[in-house]
Amino acid sequence: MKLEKGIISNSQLLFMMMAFMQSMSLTADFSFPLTKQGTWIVVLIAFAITLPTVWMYLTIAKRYPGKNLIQINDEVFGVYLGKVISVLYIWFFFQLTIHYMYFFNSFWLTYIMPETPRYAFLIMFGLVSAFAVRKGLEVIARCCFLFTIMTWLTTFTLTTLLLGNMKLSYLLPVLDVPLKDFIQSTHIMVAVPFCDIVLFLMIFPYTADKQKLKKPVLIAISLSALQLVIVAFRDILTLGPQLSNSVSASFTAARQINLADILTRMDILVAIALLITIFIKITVFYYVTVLSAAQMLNLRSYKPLVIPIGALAVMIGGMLYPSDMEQAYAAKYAWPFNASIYEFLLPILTLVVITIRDLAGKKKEMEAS
Amino acid sequence: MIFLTILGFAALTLFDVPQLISKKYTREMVVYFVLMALALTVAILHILDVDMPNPVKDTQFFVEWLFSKIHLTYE
Repeated sequence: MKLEKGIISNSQLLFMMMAFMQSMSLTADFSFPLTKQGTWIVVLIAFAITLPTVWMYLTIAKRYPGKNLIQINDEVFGVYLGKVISVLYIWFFFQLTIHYMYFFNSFWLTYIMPETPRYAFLIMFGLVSAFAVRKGLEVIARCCFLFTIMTWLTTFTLTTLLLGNMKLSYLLPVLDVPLKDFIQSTHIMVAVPFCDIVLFLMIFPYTADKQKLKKPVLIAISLSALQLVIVAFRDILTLGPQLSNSVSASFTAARQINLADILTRMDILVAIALLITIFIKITVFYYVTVLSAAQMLNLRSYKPLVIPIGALAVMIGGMLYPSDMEQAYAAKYAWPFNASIYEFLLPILTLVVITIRDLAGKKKEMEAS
Repeated sequence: MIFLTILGFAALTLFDVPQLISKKYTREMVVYFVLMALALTVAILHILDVDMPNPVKDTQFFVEWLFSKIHLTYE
């Protein structure tokens, strides 16, 4: 029995992926302290690394059309090992839901409303997300179009308004960082904002045309990378040496806008863009966690899991880290390795097992004939 | 505060439980109540200021430790 009855068109998938990846302009803040003015090169290299990785995901999806990640795991690794790997993936999606909840909450509490109790935003946010998840994939996909356009508009408005503050000399010296920092920064960039899209293996089976996934996926990734390069350039050119001591580069950059004392404090635009993009991010992760858990437990509907998993995520998300410093530390040192397991190692393993199975199947056929 | 939390969780169950009972989804109901009980326990322990290990935070540091054993680390 199919758990999700909705079907999204391929263009909706494109906008969904874009809306999903747009929050990366904010998670790019983890890379800025390491590579400073060279971060735009890091973005381009991360994009180049992402392309073969996405090709890998697409190959897996194409091999099993109409099957989601959990069903693919069952088929590739067998019932028992498949279940173990599925549990790992569900845990990964759940972790990401919680990390983004914490990220959103701490940003909002630090910059906009510091006096608010810790759980106030999270509970409201969790309820809205739960509502979207209960309504299903089609509803989430329909919001994405609007949200993508809004975020692009924000990016363009802020970049245009900051043109006067930019200094080209801030780009120099190009890449004056140790190789280790450069590799680490690239690893963070690939693992945190880009290769999160492994979760779309859960969503690909619900698209209208499963044979033509390459085009929307590639367009979405390229446009998101372009946006990230624009944002990186804007932040580097506006902030210069201040870049490494600001916790949120886009936010600090937007504070510099001052058009004849009339247009000031545009930083709230960044906060609103963050609210929108993180909403999509959390909702998609939440949806995928719930859907994959229901699929693995063989339930007849995923809806009964929405509220319990959401309540658990809100409870853990509020107290994930004692301080933002620990979050920044974890994002820099621990998370890239944790994510690499699910984003690279397990898909590579899946692909290897699929190839071996195909070869074995061919051999059997030859022997039979 | 604990009373309010329990009340909140009770209100949340009203969304799903009547439907689950009318459709006779027993398997779903078991999963639902196990997860809800877990969430409620975490919430109450948090209100009582009990120090709890955080699995989400700890697994990533555990993975980092595993990778450091094969000399893959940034520190």
